Parts: sequence; C-alpha cells; structure tokens
Amino acid sequence: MVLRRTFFCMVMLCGLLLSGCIGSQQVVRTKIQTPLVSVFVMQFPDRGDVEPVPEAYSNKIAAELSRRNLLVQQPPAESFYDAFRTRRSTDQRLKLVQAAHSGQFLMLVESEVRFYSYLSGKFRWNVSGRVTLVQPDGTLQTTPFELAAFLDFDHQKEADALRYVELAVAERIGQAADRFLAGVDSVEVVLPN
Amino acid sequence: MRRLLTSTMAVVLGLSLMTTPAQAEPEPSRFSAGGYMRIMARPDLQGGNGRLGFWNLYGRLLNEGPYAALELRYDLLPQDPLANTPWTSIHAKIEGGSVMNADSGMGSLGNFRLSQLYAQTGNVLIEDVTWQIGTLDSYFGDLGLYDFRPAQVFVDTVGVSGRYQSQWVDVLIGAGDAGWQLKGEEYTPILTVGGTAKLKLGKVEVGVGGQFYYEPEVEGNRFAPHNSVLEDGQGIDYEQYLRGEITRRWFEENPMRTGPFTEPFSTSATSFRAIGYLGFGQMGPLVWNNLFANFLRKHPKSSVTETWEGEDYVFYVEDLTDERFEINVGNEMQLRLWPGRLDLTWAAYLGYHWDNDNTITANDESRQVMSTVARFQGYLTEKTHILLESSLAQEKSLNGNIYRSGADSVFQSTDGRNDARGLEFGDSDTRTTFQFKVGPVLQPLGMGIFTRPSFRLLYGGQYSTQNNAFGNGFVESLDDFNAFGTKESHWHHVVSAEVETWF
Repeated sequence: MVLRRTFFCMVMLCGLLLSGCIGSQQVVRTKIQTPLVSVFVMQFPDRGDVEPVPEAYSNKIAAELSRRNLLVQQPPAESFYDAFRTRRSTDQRLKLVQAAHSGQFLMLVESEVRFYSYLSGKFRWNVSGRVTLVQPDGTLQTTPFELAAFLDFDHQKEADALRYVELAVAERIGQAADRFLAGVDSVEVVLPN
Repeated sequence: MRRLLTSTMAVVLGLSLMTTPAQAEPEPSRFSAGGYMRIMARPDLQGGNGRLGFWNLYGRLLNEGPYAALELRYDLLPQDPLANTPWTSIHAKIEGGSVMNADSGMGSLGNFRLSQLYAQTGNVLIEDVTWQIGTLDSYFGDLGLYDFRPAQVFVDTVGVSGRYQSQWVDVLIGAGDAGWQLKGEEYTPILTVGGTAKLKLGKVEVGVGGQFYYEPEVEGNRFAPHNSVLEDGQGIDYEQYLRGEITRRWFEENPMRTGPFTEPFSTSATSFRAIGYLGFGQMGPLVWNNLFANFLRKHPKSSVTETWEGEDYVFYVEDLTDERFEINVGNEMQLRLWPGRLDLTWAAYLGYHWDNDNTITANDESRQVMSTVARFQGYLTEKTHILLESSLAQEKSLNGNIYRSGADSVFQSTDGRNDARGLEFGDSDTRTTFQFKVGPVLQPLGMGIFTRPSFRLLYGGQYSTQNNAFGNGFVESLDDFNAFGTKESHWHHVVSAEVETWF
C-alpha cells in the first residue's frame, strides 16, 4: 500500500517536473532577417595566444541569435588573431573589426578560460568574457559573463571548458541581444507580448 | 601669480580636451569562489534514515547525504598573458556534510572544516613550475559514480610541492608532515615524501606515483611510536588486545600485584602508498576510460587505553597494527551510445584488504569487496533527461562471519552455534547488494551524465542479503522486554527529490 502510494506520488511529481519544460521563451526579434558580423576569440590568462573557439560553441550562439532573426556571419577570423594577440582591450579590437566591416551590425565575443582548481572530484575552469554588440552607427553595448565549467578529466582543456558552458553562454548572449535590439532604431524589431 | 595659475589651468584643460578619451578596461576581479552542493528530501517510510544503502560501494546516488563545499581563491599577483612574470594565488576550501533540516547535524558549523588552505606561485626560480605550500592534496582523477579516488597522494599532508607541467608530462614532487591527520591530538611528526608522474600522449595517458611515511623514534615522547612489553619480555597477546582484556587477564594471573606491568620501548614506524593510472579514449563511442589502482600499507596505530579498577593502563601497539594492507582497483568508462540521445557511464571496483596480525576476528580491515555500477542517461530534450542506474556489489569477510541475514542471527554466530565469546558477528561472511535507481532529471546546462546542476526526482530500490541493510531506527535486541520487536527486511525503497551542482 505504502509502495503504491509512493509510486503514485512519484508519477505526479514527474508530471509536474516535465510540465516545466513546456512553453517557449519569448525573445526580441528583428522584423526582417538581419546579418550580424561576428568574431569569436578564445584567450588565456597565462599566455598571449588568441585562438578560435570550438565550432559547436559558436554554432550554439548562432542558433540562439537566429531565434531573434539575427543571421550570424563569421568573416575569416584568422586575420584578426595576430592583431588581437597584442591588442588586449575590447576597444582596440573593435576598432579593427569596425574598420573591416563598417556600417554593419557587429558582434565580438571574447572568452577567456582559466583553470581554477580540483574541486570535489571535478576539474573546475573559469570561463569569463564579454560580448560586445555594435550598431551600424557605432553605438555599442558590452555585457560581461562569467561561468564555471566542471570537466571530468585532466586531459580536457580550454576548448572542452567552452563546450561545457556553450548553452549557458548562448543564453546569456541571447539575453544581451534582447536588450541590444530593444534599443535599436535602424531596424524594426518585434517586442515580446 | 593668478595669471600664471589661470594660464596653466587653461593649458591643462586644452590638453585634456585634445586627448582621445580612453575607455578603461575594468580589471578582472582578483577574488573568485567556487563550490559544490547537494541537498535532498528523502522521507524514508520504511524506518530508515533516508539513504538507500550503507555506503558508496553501491554507487554514490541515493547513498550519500547532504554536502556543501566552498572554495575561495584570491589572486595576490595575477598572471600576465604577455609576460612570464611571477604570479601568486591563495586557495581555501571549507566543506562539510550537514544542512539545516536535512540531517541530524542541523547544519551546525561544527560539521564543517577548513579542509584545504594553500598558496601557489609560478614562474619563480624555474619556468613552468608551480610551487605550492600548505595542504597538498593531489589525484589523477576520480571514479565519479563512486566518488572514490584510489590514485590520490598527499591527502593527509601539509608541506611543500613543485609541479612541472608541459604538453607531454606532468610531474609532482612533494614533502611534508602527515602527523596531524594520522595522529590527531596525539601528534608526532610523520615525515612524508612522494610524488606523481604522468605521461600524456593524447588518446592515452599513463601515470604512477607514491608516498612514503616515516614516523621517527623519539624517546620520552608518549605519543611517538612504542611497543609495550610485559615483564617477562613477551609482547602483548593479539586476542587480548582485540577484546580489550590485557589488564584484566594479567591481574587475574597476578592477583597480588598492583600498578603498571608493561614497559614501553620506543621504535619508529613506516607506511606507504603506491598508485597507478591508465587513461585512454576518444575512440568510437568510448569518450574516456580511467583505470586507477593503489597498493598501500596503513600507518600503525599508536596506543590503546584500558581501565581496570579505576586505573588507566596505556598499551602501545605499533607491532600489532603494522601489517594492514590494501589493494584497490577501480575502472570507469564513459560511453556515448547514441549521440545526443543516450550516454552510459560504467564503473567497477575491486578491493582486497588484509591484516597479517589479525587472523581471528572479522572487521573492515580484512575483507574483499567488489562492485559494478552502470548509469544510463537518456535525453528527451536538451534539458530533460531520464536516469537509470543499477549496481551489484559483494562484500566478503576474510575472517569469518560479520553480517546478519536475519533478526535472530545472533544465535548462530559460529558455525551455526551461539557463541557469546566468539570473535565473529552474525551468521554470514558475505553481503550481496543489488540497487537500482530511476527517475527524471532536469539539467539547465544541457546534456551529459556529469553536467550540473542536476535536479532529480528518483526512486531507488535495494535488495541486500543482510537484514535491514540501511541506517535505521530499529531495535535489534532479542530481549523479551523489547517492546518494539525485531524487523525482517531485505528490500528497501526510497523516493528522493534532490539537486546537485558544482558552481
């Protein structure tokens, strides 16, 4: 009897939990599909290298932004990496990107990955960064983000840490894009009800 | 004077207007915090304490209680990406297993400890070497389904270490003192030295390591290792030591004597731990496989105290506890069976523990344990999953019976006979345990068996050959005046709403 009641309670709670997944999040959308020139970089606190992010990481962000009718376009970024190695500030880097893609919507996603410590059986990494969205007239919005990645194995490094947080970073960037689009005048946007 | 001041101000103002305004880059915070927490509501309707079984040999899931850990880091001297300059950071970790309303400890801070405190510095003296002073805990990895770390060194040590890391190798050498961890309030220094070396070849990794302990002889220090010797030059009888009857037996044989009857002779003590690791993966559905092993000789105990007719008698037992050995081997593999749909983590553990001094009584230091745990996680959506875990374990005592398969087994302790003076307990030398756990899981950060946070609603069932094989509030006495009676139960069920996350 006790077991039957326990099982019934469990089924009810399952239903409640799963019902939380129903329904979709509303976002700010542009009325027409808008290209967004995007540059993604991964950097490190202990060395000057600047490297491309994993493809899955940028794809996840692109998918999140496509819900806002933004079409992520990635120019060949290798040309920027050498310059970014010595230009460490967002301001310096944006000037380079703007010079190559003036008059367009731009996005610069800088992700820095750093080993934190061994924490209760996991290898904890810090993923911090900034997403900067720029309007064609140069008005910009910078949003920082900081997340933790917990990797299972010692051989997993910075790229794996980015993969771990790709969903959360994509959602943060999506929220930043909502705020950015809500204040844009150069394209028509549809606000959520 | 006023004209000079006015013109100077005008020049400064003019220059400032001509200068391009620089956008200040905020300095990253030097302080950061990370941690771990798990908490659960597991009302146990069968009289248990909310844990499915006794310990993690059956898988950590549903067998652990609440836990919280907070690790703090402060970058005293941050790393510079453009220059190989020295850097320094300080780490502290506070952890414990009690939360208000979730366990009997009621979240008391007395259940928490500062388990780690150390400072690291790099690019000092030798490039690519990180120096660490403080606690030195280090391991090759862990068995996530068990929360076991067979390949671990310096978990008990405060000292200094140097770690060299490159693309191909990772070498750690350390030395320090393990006396506080191993001796507690009866502290004497236990010098320890050891290290690990790992070769990293991409899809294959191999590691070895070890730690050696030496507790020096210190005459006159009652906490230093000694052996008690009787007046006739004989050592202490092992069975009398086990039963706590050294004093009683001696005074029974020497009724006219009073006062101490043994003399402590100082000695030194040693112990060791050797570890090994083999990792490989990134091949087909195999994400990674970790194989860990250790072989260790436990550090000898110091002394025991017996009370006889109001007097305390201390006996030193280094020679009675210096042959306790363990071999432990654990393997865990992560498999991506159906990408994006189904993952499996499968682990197995084998332990053989023996004590050459003890051949007469059953305890946890003379046993063989083996276990296997498999956890499947199926992905209904990116964030909604179904978890299914099962485990099968067997624990076998090497020195006779230790488990009770029935409430009345106290009457069958030795070869099926009642033996009140026996050194066995119960009616079986083997405990076999089967568990399974199933339920929905929500993971906001997406797929992965070890991705966290993980919100779970689980049902767990256990069958054990031992009677009431879970923490419980039953009365085990067979006394006629036991008003509650005894209870026979080999199945145990729990339902749990819980959350676990690293942060």
